This record gives sequence, C-alpha cells and structure tokens, in this order.
Amino acid sequence: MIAAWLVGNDVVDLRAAAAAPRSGRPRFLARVCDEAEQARVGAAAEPATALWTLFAAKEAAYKVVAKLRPQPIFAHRRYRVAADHATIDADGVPLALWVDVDLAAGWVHVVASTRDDRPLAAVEALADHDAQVPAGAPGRGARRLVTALVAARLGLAAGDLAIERPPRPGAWDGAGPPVIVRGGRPLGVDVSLSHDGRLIAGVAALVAASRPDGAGFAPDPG
Amino acid sequence: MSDQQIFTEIVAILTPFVKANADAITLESSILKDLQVNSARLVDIVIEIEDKFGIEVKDDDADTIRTVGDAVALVKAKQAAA
Repeated sequence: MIAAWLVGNDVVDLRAAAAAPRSGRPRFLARVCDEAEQARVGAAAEPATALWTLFAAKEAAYKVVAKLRPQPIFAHRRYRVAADHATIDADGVPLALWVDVDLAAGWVHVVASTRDDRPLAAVEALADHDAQVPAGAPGRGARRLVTALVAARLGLAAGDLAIERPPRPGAWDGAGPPVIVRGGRPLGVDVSLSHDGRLIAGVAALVAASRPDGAGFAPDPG
Repeated sequence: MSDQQIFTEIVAILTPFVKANADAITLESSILKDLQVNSARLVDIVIEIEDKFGIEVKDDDADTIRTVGDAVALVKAKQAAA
C-alpha cells in the first residue's frame, strides 16, 4: 500500500494529435497498447479518442510512478489500463484513474492517483500572451494554473506559491517531479503539470469536492 | 555506417518533429527538452529509427534515449550486434 497521496496527469490536444497522422498507424498503437487495449481501440466508436485516452492514462500514471521510483523505465505497454478506465496497473503499481473527455473543446485529460479520492484538477487553453513566447510558455502556464488552483482552495495568495523542480540526475531533463512551495518550503501538497498543443492542465492532491463553507482543505500530511 | 552518417540520418528523422532549426541539432541535444519533442512524437521517432536502420528498438532501449547522441549510440550498437 502506498501511504502518500501522489498524483499525475496528462492532457492531450486531440486537434494537435489529429494533425500528426503517423500516430494513427498500427505500429504506434502496438507500441503504446497491449493486445487487450489494442482490441478496445479497434472496437471503439472513436478509435483516435480511445487511443489518446489510453496514452494519457499511461503518461499520467508514469508521473506518479516517477515519484515512487528513482529512475523508472517507461514503456507504455507495461502500463495496462482497465477496461472501465477506473484503474491502471502501472508496471506493478495500482493506481486510480479519472478520465475527462471534451470532444467539443478537443481534449482528453486523465488524472492518476494513489488514492481513490478524486484530486483537484483543471484544464485550460494556453493564454494568448503565453503562446507568443514559445520556449517554456506552456510549462509556465501550467505552473500558474496549479498555483492558482491550490491557492484558491487553501485560501492563500497565489503569489506566495511557486512550483519548483529539484534537480534529479538521470531524469529526462535533469529535474525531478514538480514541488509546490510557499516561502521556499514544500507545501505538502503533491502536484502534477501537463501541457500539449493549445492546452495546459494540472492536478493537486487536494480533494475536489467542495465543502459548503469552502474551508477545511488542509494539505495532506501523508 | 559511420557515426556521422547515422547522425545525419537521425537528424533527418527528427527534423519534421522538432521546432528547432535542423542546424541547431547536435549530439548533445536533449530530444525532449532541447528539441521539445513530446512523448507521443518520441514514439513516432523510435518507429522511424527502426524503419530507417532496419533494427528493433525494444522498450527498455527506447527509454534510454535522452539525447541525439544516445540515439546514434543505440543504432550503432544494434548494427554492430546484427
């Protein structure tokens, strides 16, 4: 059993994905999905959406596993999504999943969590002023989204919060998972960032259901 | 195939997927960070490498590719083992 409440998320811009025709090929599907998942994609009314939902689930789950293991190998096929999309076996790590699909807006967003509590999550279009600054802009947008999300829920000023990524040798970019800090000290709330195409997304390990008085959402001690 | 030939072929594979100018791609370029290739496109790139060089890139091998130089080394090792 995993004591800490850890979360991951991944957003896929379905319009950007559709603009990359290679990704619809059978070999892409075979590289990402096991046989059972390939069958489900093949039988789906919207195969592309089904594929990207599985892809996002695996990416979201990997972000959790990367917090549990120092340098996990990421092979999409080793992450097996249950047929009901409620859980995933992430290379031996069982996780809960939440899938949101907005076909009108053209996105799939999946949240993975070590607990059954649905965490706080948001998906937004990357603001125009961010899009004009290519390098790092989506990452900055996702950071701002998550700090605002957490600040609002905890009654803090968003400006007092920041998201840092401590160095982690061997990681794909040399940095570890994001950590939300206040005054330079970890807040104790696990967070995850994602961006793709026009979209930014984020999730925080705070329960999503709101109390009527909007209070009482303390950082998780686990 | 020389290292330079492998590098040139890999740059040709990468170019359609990256925002950076092909001239800016070096052996040290991080595919995900510097070239801003996302993970879905990286799957496509691995498939293209398999096709171009006639090799099989297993999942564990694919996960070791961080830089363009890593990809060159992987192809060279696979070709040497063939």
